[in-house]
Amino acid sequence: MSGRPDPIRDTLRDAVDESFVADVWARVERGPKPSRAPLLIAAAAAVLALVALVWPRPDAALRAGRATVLADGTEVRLSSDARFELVADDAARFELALSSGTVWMDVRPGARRWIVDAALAHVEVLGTRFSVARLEDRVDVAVERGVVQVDSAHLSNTRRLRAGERISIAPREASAGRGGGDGALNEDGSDGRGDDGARGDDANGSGARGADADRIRSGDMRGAEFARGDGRRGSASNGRTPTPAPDADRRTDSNADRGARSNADRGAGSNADRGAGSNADRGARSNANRGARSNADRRAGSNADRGAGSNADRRARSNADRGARSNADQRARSTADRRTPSNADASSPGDDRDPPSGAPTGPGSANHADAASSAPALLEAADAARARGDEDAAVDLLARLLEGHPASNEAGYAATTLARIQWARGERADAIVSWERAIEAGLPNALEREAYRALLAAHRARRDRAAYDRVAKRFLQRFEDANVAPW
Amino acid sequence: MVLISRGMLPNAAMRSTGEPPVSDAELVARIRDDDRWAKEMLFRRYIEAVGSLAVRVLQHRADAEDIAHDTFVAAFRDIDQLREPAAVRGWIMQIAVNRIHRRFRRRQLLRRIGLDRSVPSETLEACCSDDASPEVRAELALIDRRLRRLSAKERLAWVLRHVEGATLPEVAEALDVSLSTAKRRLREANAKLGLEAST
Repeated sequence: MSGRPDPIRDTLRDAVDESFVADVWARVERGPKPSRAPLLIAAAAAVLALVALVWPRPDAALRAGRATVLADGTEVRLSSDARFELVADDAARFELALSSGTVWMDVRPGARRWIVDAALAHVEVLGTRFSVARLEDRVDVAVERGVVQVDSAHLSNTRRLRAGERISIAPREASAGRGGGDGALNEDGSDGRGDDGARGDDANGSGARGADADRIRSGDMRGAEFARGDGRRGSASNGRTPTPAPDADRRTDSNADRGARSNADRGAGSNADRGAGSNADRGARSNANRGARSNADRRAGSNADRGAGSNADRRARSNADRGARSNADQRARSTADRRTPSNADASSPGDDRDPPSGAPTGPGSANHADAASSAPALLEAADAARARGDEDAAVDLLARLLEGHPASNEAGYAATTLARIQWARGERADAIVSWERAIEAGLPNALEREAYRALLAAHRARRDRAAYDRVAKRFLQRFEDANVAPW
Repeated sequence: MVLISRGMLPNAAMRSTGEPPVSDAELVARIRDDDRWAKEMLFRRYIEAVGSLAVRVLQHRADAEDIAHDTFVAAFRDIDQLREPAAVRGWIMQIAVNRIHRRFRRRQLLRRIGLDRSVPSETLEACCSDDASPEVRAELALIDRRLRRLSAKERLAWVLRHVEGATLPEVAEALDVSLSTAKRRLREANAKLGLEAST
């Protein structure tokens, strides 16, 4: 009866550290606080409230009636009648409070949390494409791909919606997906199994449901358009396991892209987690070129591969609209143009991601890289090989890059990518060596942090406490604010 | 930083060896004789319990530091009133709980009249360990949101029990209520949180 349940604190960092203890003890030794007049407290609170009111909010240049591609590749489209407030946009969280109108989001999975708060409903995603419409009398949530979690005081439980499902939440309707009615329809007519769907499936997002995807009726959600692509991406929505899946590639390199852009395109970056900072300064230009180029290639290419060539076009155009990266635009356009005609016309849902056998391989292929042995060319070729799913070729190219260009700007990225592949293959010792090499070669802060965290996880998995402690010390010396879990 | 410094806390050392080298009763006796070392020892022995509870309930580090400070200042000031020196832990926790309760209600009042727009910085989700999965983070964020539905008393009981891992008698002692009252509060808190009724 009085036994202890597993406390939540086991999943939390310690609330009290030595600085907390030292600060409080110093104050205790000084004795009780001098009493403050209530009037002063109220005045201070009023000033704070005023400051909080006028304090500038983070701005990702979101505008009603237009689409915005965020730094990590996530696309946010707001209807022209949308009224919203960007509550948070940082390395850990993107949160949008929606007062009216509709937001469509195509989320790139990664470490960030994605939240839309529409008052009647609180929607959180782990990497997906979905929309939230705030209407006068209800909120509609529709999922095109992946899984979203919907929490609302008007629902009896938190609901999980999967690809093709939708829900309407109205103040007086306490259920959805439970038997018809305006507020109860799932797009595929299911009985709301998203409610209690297996966690494992959710974690793998739509990847685990690939086989089911053909059953999804598109309706007005274009769900089927993405069905097979989702199925093939497997763990793409899984931001936890380092896998060589194409989405993982995109996430990975969008970090590099983000780091480079935050310096080269946007001037001095304000957020260290986004790769701004002294480290990213080295080779920022070349990184920007590489990151933007490969990212644009990837975006355009992968969209075209998915049969969403129009998306590639749109992204390329939106990049051009922003006028930020002429190089990237050029690449994106040319890549989209190159790939779109063959795939975009075939807009059927079953369009493959893989190029047909015997298809022209283009300049990013391994064959081409044999001729081009410069570090950028090798890295680009490795990216292309990974996108094709040809891991062996990617490993070979990355190893050649590291061997032939150990001091190049691309070495850090190559070692990181190689480490991820090795880790996913279960080659832990090799992965550790590659991550160490990546750190040594130099990385933007965000990737360097990731490398340290990966090293810690690897040593923990190998139960090598001494190595774990050594890496922990180095991590803390390098990043004072790093959070390192005790062994 | 946390990793390295945690091992320096005397209370951590105490846990690893089982019995504290100096008993609570002896520390209290020495504090009554104005022994500074004993004060610091007692402080370090229980600062983690007090500070952690304050952080988890108030979700503001600065507020939690205030609470911890006020708690130990009051404890050292009133230590002569403690009847059972061996029960000093429960006594300190009661002082802390009272102060957290007051602070929580005051903040609610300020918020109601628009003088407090602060955003909790130490939410469960924000304090999640680095290796936690997105699923776990989402669950913690959900609990964070639902915790806002609880009254101060319910929140204290729930955090003590389910976040800090206290036993039911420890919860009852810290809240200075009977065991049945503690169970009732936990039941009510669980119901509001939409969790299973197990306490």
